[in-house]
Amino acid sequence: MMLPPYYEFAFPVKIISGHTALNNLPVELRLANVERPLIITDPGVARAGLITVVLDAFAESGITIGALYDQVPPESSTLVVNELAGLYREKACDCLVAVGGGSVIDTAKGINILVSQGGDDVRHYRGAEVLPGPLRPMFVAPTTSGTGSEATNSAVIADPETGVKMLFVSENLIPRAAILDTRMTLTLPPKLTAATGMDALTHAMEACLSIQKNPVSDAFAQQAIRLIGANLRVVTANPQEKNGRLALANASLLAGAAFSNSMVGCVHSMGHATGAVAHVPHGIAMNIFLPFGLAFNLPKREAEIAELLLPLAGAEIYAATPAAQRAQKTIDEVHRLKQDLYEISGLPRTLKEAGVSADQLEHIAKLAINDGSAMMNPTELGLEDALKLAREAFG
Amino acid sequence: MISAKIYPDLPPRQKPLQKAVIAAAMFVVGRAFQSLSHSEPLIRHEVSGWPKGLTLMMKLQPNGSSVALQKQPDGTVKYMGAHFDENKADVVIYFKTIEAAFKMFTAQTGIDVAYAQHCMCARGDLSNTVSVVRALGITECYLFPSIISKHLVKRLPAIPFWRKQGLRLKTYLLGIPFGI
Repeated sequence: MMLPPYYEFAFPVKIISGHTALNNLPVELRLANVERPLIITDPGVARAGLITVVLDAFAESGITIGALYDQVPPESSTLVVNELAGLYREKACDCLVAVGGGSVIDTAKGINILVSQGGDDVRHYRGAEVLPGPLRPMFVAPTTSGTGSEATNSAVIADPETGVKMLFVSENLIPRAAILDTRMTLTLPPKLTAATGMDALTHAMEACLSIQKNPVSDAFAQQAIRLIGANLRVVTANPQEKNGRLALANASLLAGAAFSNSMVGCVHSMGHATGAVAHVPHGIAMNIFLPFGLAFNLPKREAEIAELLLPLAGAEIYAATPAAQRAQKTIDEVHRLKQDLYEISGLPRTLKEAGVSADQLEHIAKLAINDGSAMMNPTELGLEDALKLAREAFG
Repeated sequence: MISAKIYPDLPPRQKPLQKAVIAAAMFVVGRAFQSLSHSEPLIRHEVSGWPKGLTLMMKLQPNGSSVALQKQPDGTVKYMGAHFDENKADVVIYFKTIEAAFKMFTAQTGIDVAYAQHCMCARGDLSNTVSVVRALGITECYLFPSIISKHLVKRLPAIPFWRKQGLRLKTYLLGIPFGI
C-alpha cells in the first residue's frame, strides 16, 4: 500500500475486553481520579436487566453512583443532552458512564461537551475539529456490536426544533475506556446480531476504501473484518456463543476506530438516506447496500477490495482465487454472507424485503448525494449513480 | 545555570507572499461564485437546496484572510467581502495552516482531499457541506482549465463546451472585476 501524503490517527481508548470485563469499571474510575459517575442508558437496556450487571460491578467499590438515567430516547436529542447536563451538575458528578448503543453513547458525548466546556445548549458546539479539550473522563459499555461509537470521535445529535441531525466531530469526544463485556450483548436477538454485525463490517470495509484511508486504519479494519468473517454466522445461529460475542464486540470497536480515522463512503450515504425516507434500520440498510457499494467503487479501488478477501473469507479461499478475480470474489463473498444471514435470521437482503417501495427510490437517491459520507467516497456519487445503486439494491 | 536572558522569545515568522496570494485567491473565488450563481445551472441547482440566507465563510486560522458568501432571497449568492464577522456566519470553514490554504487556493489540492488530509476544520451546521463542496468544485472547473481541474474534483461536471467557455469568459471579464 502507498502511504497517503498526509494522515492522522487518534485512538486513545483503553480497551477492556472479557466475559466479565465490567467488574473492572470501578478500578478504571479510580485510575482516572473520578468517583461519582452519571450513568446513562435507555429503557431497552434497563428492561433487559443489563444495568444490574453495571450496578453489581460497583458493589463494595466505595464509589457512589451520582445518578442513573435510563430514559435516553432511540434518537439522541439536544433537549435530552441539555437536561442531562443539568442533572450531572446538580448531582455533582465528575464522570460519565454510557451503557447502550449509538444513541446512548452519542448522548453521553453531548453531555460531556456541556459539562466540560460550560454552557447550557450543546448546539453551540456543533462542527468538526473545533472543540477544545480535554473533556471529562467517559467510560462506555456498548450493548450492541455495530455502531463502534465507543471508539469514535463523533456524535450525531438531533435538534428537535429544526429536525436537523447535527454533527459533532472532535478527537476530544473519544471515550477514555471501552468495556467490552460478553454479558452485555448475549441477549441480542439473531436478526439484530446480524444487522449490527453487518454495520460493523460496512464500517471496516468502507474505511479501507475511503479517500482518508491510512495504514493504521487499514490494520484496525482488516482485523475487524477477520473477526466478523469468522464469527458473525456462528453467533447469529447461536446467540449464546460467548467467545463469538466477544469477538464481534471487539470487531465493532476496531471497525469504529478505523472509520473514525478514515471515514465511510457511499454505502453509508445510501443507508442514511434510506433510513430517513423509509425508516429502514441502519444495520439492515448497510447489509443491503454493502455489496453494491463495493461494486460501485470497484473501478477506483480494485486492489483495496481484493485485499479484503483474505480477512473476510480466509486463507484457503483467498489462495484458491486468482489475483485478478479477488476483488469480485470479495463482493461475491459479501453476497454469500448476506444470503446466509437471511437464511439464519431472516435479515432482509433487498430494499423490497425491507419494506421500501419503488416510488421511494428517487427520494433516497436525492438525499444520498448530499449525505456527508459521500464526500470521502473514492468515486463521485452523482444522482444517476445513487439511483442506480438504489435500483440494484431494490431487488 | 542557564540564563533566560540569552534565550529570547521567538515570535512566529511571517509569510507575506503566501498570505497575499491566498487573500487574492479568496477574492477571486468569492467573486467568481457570485457571478456563476446568477447564470450557471449546476451551481444554481446546488444553491437552491441551501437554507434561506445561509452564510458560508472560509477563513485562514488564526487571523488570516477570509471570504464570506451569502445566499440571497432570489437564489443567487453574494460575495460578502473579506472582513465579514465570523460570529454571524452559519458555517465557518477554517484552514488550519497557511500551507494548507495556499495549496487549496492555488489549485494544488481539491477540497475533498484537503478535508481528508485534515487541512480544515469547521464550526456550525455541516448538513450542507457536500453541496457546498460540489458547488465550489464547479466554480474551480470554470476558473481552471480541465487539465488542472480534473485533479481537483473526483469527476468533472458535465458542462456543455460552449456554455463553459462563455461563462468562463464572463466570469473572468465581468464576474471577478465587477461582481456581475
